[in-house]
Amino acid sequence: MLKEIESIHNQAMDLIEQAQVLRFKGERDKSNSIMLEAFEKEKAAADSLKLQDIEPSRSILYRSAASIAYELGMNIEAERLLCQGLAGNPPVWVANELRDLYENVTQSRHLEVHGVHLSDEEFQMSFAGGLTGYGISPLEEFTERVDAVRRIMQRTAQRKMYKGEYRIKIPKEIRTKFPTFVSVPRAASFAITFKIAIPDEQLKVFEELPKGELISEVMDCIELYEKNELKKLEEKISSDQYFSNFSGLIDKVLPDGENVSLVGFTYNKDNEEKAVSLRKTREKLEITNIKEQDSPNILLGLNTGDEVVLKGILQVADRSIDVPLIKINSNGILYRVLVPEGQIDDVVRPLWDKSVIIKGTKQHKKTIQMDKIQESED
Amino acid sequence: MSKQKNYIALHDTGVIPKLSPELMLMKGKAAAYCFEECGFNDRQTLRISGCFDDSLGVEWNSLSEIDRNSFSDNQESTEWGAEAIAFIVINQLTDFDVISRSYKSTGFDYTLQKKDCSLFQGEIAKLEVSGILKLRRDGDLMTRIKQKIKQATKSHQDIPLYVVVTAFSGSETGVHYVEGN
Repeated sequence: MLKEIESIHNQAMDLIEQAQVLRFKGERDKSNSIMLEAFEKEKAAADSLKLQDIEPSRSILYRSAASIAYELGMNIEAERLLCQGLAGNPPVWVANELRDLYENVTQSRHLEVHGVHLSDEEFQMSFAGGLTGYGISPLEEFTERVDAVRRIMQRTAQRKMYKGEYRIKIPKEIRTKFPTFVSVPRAASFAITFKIAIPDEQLKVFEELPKGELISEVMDCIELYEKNELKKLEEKISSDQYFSNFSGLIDKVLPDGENVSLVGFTYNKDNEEKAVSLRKTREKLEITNIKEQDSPNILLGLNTGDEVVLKGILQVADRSIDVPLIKINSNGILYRVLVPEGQIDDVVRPLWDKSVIIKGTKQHKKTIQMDKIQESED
Repeated sequence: MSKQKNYIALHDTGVIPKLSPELMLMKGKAAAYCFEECGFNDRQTLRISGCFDDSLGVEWNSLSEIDRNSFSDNQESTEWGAEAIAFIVINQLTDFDVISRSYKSTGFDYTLQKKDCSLFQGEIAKLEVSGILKLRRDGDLMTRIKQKIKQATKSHQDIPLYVVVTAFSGSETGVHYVEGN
């Protein structure tokens, strides 16, 4: 019997390989239809062992079938298959994987909008994860992300309105025309509505940039980022400063993988409710390049262009040169850090006088080109 | 210890019998693309470090312009290329020479099993793969291996695990074995 089931399973896996090749070639529709065929076969293989205690085969097949269903957006089917897998006697490692996937599948429910109608100027942002319960979330997890999303909306409006011209500070015109309001948080597991308009604003006829279009643009960018399609994202944004600004801000929105494992957005487009979710976790910067040496200057011994991670207090901003520059005090040494123009105001400024970790590359003796900055946890 | 041939062809689709020839060819081409991106032509000898101290020769047909264009997404090509190398390394240097596939939302999940075993029965181990196209610092390979071990052992503590990371620019593959509890 196992040989027959293995044969069905292998047919399913062969189909998935075909689907992967097609997806790689950009033939997404064809790829999905083959994935569906693979799903039917893998589910049949798993169900053949439904009443048998043949582990880990039984639970691996259920996990595999559920994964395909999940990828195809068939969440209810995926949930059912995962429960079947857990209902057997899976070994610990398969049971852990079944539970991890179950968490991902059920997280999609957090994107649903409960009892609220979203207008074209609105979108919902929801959080789920370890410390985020039904209707409750740690304040810092919430406020930092809300502020980053507000800035992303206004920077995108600025990019569209000013045809790609970047200004370090968000212009007053943008802040006035695209004000951001947030609703009272609600349980979803934890969700709020953003409104990009004055609450009683009626006149939309002469809008230079319709709010719905702005929201759609931001969501498209977030989706490209989540899918790791960074080249397409760069082309869409088509400005180094705005791209750098978006990269720095979205890093603040990303789940940390512990307290928050999903940040979801739900919005309306063409009278249809759409959802985008961020599951990619934020890279946590850690000091790894400490080595014993005579000088406390960690850049000594590194070549220009070498990667460096540095921890210190963000102390000074020097506006006397063209490139934004900050200084970081680390163990009594003041390092000069060149900051991408798109990140100085929205990403770096809120961290002044705080303990930070930066990742970048060595430029000169005490100069680093910054790539990423995060507040240090201690 | 080594059953290594002189040079293993990355375009040989029969190297891993359990994988379909079409996908193996794509992954093999991805590995060839990564080597060519690092300035190597036609063949290269990989140093195998970690739980082995060995070497493995690989060769490939030069890629056409069309192939090069299809692999221009470096991140995905590096992952696929690293998988091709990992399959060959595991088949050549360990007792786990059959790779079973199951699906995970992140892509394929590869389980290693001994010859003649069916459908995940018998002794099995997990395989975690990663690739680095161009090394930026000496410690990059080891840092990535440690990250993968940490990540994989979170859920796989009770079965053995192979972590195989290839750094194409340094022509080195680190293989680490973690025993299950």
